[in-house]
Amino acid sequence: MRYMFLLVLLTVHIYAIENFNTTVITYKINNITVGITNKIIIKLDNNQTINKYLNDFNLTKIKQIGKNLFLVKVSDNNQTLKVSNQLTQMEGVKYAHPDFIKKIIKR
Amino acid sequence: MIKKLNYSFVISLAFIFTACGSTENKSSSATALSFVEDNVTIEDNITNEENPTKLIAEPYFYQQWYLEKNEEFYTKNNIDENASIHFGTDYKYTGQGVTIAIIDDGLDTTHVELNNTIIATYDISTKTTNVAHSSMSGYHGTAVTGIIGAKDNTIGIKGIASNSQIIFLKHKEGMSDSETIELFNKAKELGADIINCSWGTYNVSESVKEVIQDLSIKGRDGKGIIIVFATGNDGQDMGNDESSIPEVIAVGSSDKENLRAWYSNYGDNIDVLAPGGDFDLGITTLDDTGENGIGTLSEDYLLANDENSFIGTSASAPIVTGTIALMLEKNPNLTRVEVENLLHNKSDKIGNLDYIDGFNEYYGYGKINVFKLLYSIGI
Repeated sequence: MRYMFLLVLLTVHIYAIENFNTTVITYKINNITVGITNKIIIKLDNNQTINKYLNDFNLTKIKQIGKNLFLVKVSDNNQTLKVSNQLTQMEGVKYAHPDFIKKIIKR
Repeated sequence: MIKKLNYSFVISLAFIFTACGSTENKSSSATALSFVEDNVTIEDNITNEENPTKLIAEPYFYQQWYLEKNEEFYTKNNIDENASIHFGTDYKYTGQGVTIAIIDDGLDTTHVELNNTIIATYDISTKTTNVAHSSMSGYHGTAVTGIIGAKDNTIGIKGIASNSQIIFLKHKEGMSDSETIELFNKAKELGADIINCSWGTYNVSESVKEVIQDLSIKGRDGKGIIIVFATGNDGQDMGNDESSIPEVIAVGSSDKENLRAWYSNYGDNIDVLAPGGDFDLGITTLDDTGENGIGTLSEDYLLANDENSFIGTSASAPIVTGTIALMLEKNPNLTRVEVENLLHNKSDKIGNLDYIDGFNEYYGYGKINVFKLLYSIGI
């Protein structure tokens, strides 16, 4: 799944959410609100290392959260969507998407 | 829980619960040790003197209609005679040796019904082990946990897997994908065999989906961790929800009429139903103790007829989770795929809709039947 669809979002709000220590931009997609910070999740192919992408996109590695799965951050969170979309197009990247913040709905 | 065509909630009844608490009225007409299938009465295929059958002696068991029929309670509340999951009035399996992770909004770890049940806790917000509800009116995680793990202590209710070990992981109200992944990885690290999730987002990200699939396939030393999700309470297609992930056990709700509950989400990936109650009859379980929680008839329990009863697919999911724990106790080598196949093949095809190859998108493979499931598992 590519995340280019995020470029056609309808509404954008910016505010700070407690516990995230950074600005959160919220988007409403089909009545589901998601938040975006300066963090991106990136999944690499097996033969790839993260350093190449850190250098090419001026990213900072926060931590590894799974096999070939990394949490990174951009310096400017207005660039989060743009960078994650660019990463998605890169050879060696299985997928990349913002570290979305979502409402957990109790059922 | 349900909230008037919205997500979770608390329900108002038009009457006050007046049922007598006397234990003399709590016998049931059904038994776990015999069951008529295809016109042949079959007996439990396990004889294990070290694990003898015990009679359920919990004061509120008579109103745990979702587990077993109680003649008086069923008649009084107009409950279909087959609305339960056929748990029986006695028990042999208790989830002994099975570890269950529950990801939810908070837990009253001091509840007497959970003594020595909780083996680990973690709060994703504070990174501490304090998982108490953030507000005094919190109850959801305690209610979910009670259905699974309430102790056999003759104090209150029967937990389906009363001797299972429970890991409680407290989520945030607004949680990032990386935090969700952290909670699932934490469940794995702490040794979870089953993970119960009575929540969802309707918008699962690729990374979260992949982690859930990975744990479902490779976890538990390759047998697969069994991850159970509630399908949701909006009476709509599950869509791109966590419960729609094919490797997940997606649980919808049935009601006291033994039909799909009106609020229960549906879709191509729904697996089974379990009772979830409705506005007039909830799922009896635990509440946060004392002045905390939401119960109005009992300080420590959410009773079936409480005006703030526990209703929804949030209640149905732990019923299935607890049942899977009994299956894994009986045969710890069952894989996730085998558990899923058993659930599909041994569930009761309730309702008036046709099942094609055993399935329809509203009822999944039907409503779970504990006796059939346990009977079908050899040692």
